[in-house]
Formats: sequence, C-alpha cells, structure tokens
Amino acid sequence: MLPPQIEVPAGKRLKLAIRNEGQGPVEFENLDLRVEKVLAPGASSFVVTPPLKPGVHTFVDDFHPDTGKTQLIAK
Amino acid sequence: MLNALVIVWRESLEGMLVIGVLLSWIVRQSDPRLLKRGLWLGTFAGLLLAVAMGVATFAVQSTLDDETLERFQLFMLLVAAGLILHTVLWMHRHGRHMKRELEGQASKRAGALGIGLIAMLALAREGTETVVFLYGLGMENAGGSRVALLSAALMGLLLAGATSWLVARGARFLNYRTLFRVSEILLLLVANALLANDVERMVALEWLPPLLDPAWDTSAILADGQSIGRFLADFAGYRARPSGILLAASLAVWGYALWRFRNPQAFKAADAQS
Repeated sequence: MLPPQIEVPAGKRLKLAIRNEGQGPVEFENLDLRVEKVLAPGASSFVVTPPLKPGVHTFVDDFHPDTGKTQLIAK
Repeated sequence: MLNALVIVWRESLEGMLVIGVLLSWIVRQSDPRLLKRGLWLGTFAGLLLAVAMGVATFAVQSTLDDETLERFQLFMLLVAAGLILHTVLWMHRHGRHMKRELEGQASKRAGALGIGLIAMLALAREGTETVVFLYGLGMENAGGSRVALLSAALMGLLLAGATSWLVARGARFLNYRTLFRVSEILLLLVANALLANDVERMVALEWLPPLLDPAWDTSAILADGQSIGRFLADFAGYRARPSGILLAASLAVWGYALWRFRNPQAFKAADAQS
C-alpha cells in the first residue's frame, strides 16, 4: 500500500482518495475509524474519516494483510 | 479457514436474527399465514438483492459510480430504518388489539408488506458484505483451497441459521407481553444501527453537517472498533465518538417511538382508517 505514511492535521474530517492498482479486489480498512471500502481491480473511490485524534492511525488491506499498510499521522 | 467461517457467521447473523425475531412474533398471532408469506417472500427478495449489490460493488470502477452506489445504499438504509419504526408501531398496536380482532384485513396486508420489506432490506444489507467477502475469496483462491474456503463459509451460514433458530425457539418460553416488548426493543435497536450508519454516510457525502464532532469520547471505556463494542455498533448503533447530528437523529427516532407508545389514543383516528 502506498504511501506508507501521510502527515495530516488532527481534529479534522479527512477525505482520502484511494485506487486499487492491483490484480485482485482489496478492502481498505481501519476498524477504529469505521472505514471499510471494497475496491475492484482498477477501481478508484474515496473514504471519509471522522475527526482524527492526535497519533498514528493505520489502514490495512483486509483481503491482503501482508501487502503493507498506510499510516495517517495526525498532529 | 476459521476466519472465513467466523466472518460469514457474523455478517449473516444480524439479518437472520431480525428474521428470527419477526418470526417468533408472527407465530403468536391469531392468523399468521399472510404475515408468514410476507416474511418468506421478503427473505427471498433480500437474498437476490444482496447478490445484485455484491456484484455491483465489484463492478464499480470510478469514484462517480461509487458515489451512485453509495447513494443507493444510503436510500435503502433510510427506507429500512423508517419501515422498521413504522412496523414496530404497527406491531405494538396489533399486539394490543390482537384478542379483540379489531383490525381488518387491510391492516394485516400492510403489516405483512412491512415485515416482508424489513426482512428483505436487513438481509440485503448484511448479505451484500457476505457476498463481497466470498466473491473476493473466490477470485483469489483456486482449486482445493477455494473449495475448503467455500465450505467454511457455508458452515458459517448454517451456524448463523442455527443461532437465530435457537433464538426464535427460545422466545417461545417467554410470555406474550415480554416477547412483544423484547422484539419491539430489538427491532428499534436495529433501526437505530441503520440510522447511525446512514447519518455517517450522509455526513461523509457532505449532505449533513456533523455539528458537534465528536459530542463525547467513550473510546477509553468501550471502543466501537473491536469485539463487544463493534457488535454493539453494528447491531445497535453504538458509537464511542458520536457526532452531534447522529445523536440528534437517534434521539428524534427514540423520542418519537416512545411518544407513540405512550399516546396510542392520539392516533386512534389514523388507526381506524388504516
């Protein structure tokens, strides 16, 4: 998953644009932020997070937990 | 493998529980045939809708398509929440008047339709996630492992069916009054969960302002992302950090339901017409 890290402002709603460039379906997910989005191969979409608490919020691909992760670092 | 079983069990449990609750209410009615038929037709339609939406999820390619699908699901959830509220009020009246048989065939038909639609929408929502999950697994795994995964998933489905059957069976030991009260509260909780989900989607699409965001934070006591907190979030609409608009919507629905429960007299005229 790319990029591995993004710095973002804390306390704000964020809209993240995501795109699946792989061959199979993926699920972009962070359960604590209640974000779960399935993407078909080649599909793009968006998710909206609630206002972030300061700290690190990790998103994974729930269908492929071993292909890395994206961390939002809220400051 | 176990993972597939647990996920399918969890995803399909809610829809099946709703059907179990409705069924245990229906079998206590004096003439349950019409209501039962409504329930099973709704169940069947819900399965079809789940498959259709699951396939649509994978067909989505662009952000624009995704927003359309999002809007459709949002609309569906809103209708479902409204219908549950409406039907719970109907069930409440119907339960009270049951012995006196005050209600005509028309009201019963309307009730059967409402019950069928609830079963359909509850199954469609949870079922879509199951279909997406299974379809994703099926696309990624081939041969033997695919068969093993699908049988694990099937086991999960059967387990969920057995769980809700047990609940419906267990409900037979409750007396009328308790059963009616419990099913009304359970269904209202489900409506609350749908509403919470819907309000969040509308905030994400910027159709609604979040207002106070978050209104409070109980994530240190009970986070809503894992285990029991997650179950409560999915099934009852619990949020550890709810936005102000979500609280307002939830309060409005519960307030309206309680008010209608307490003042059945105020709606006699409307009842007589329906």
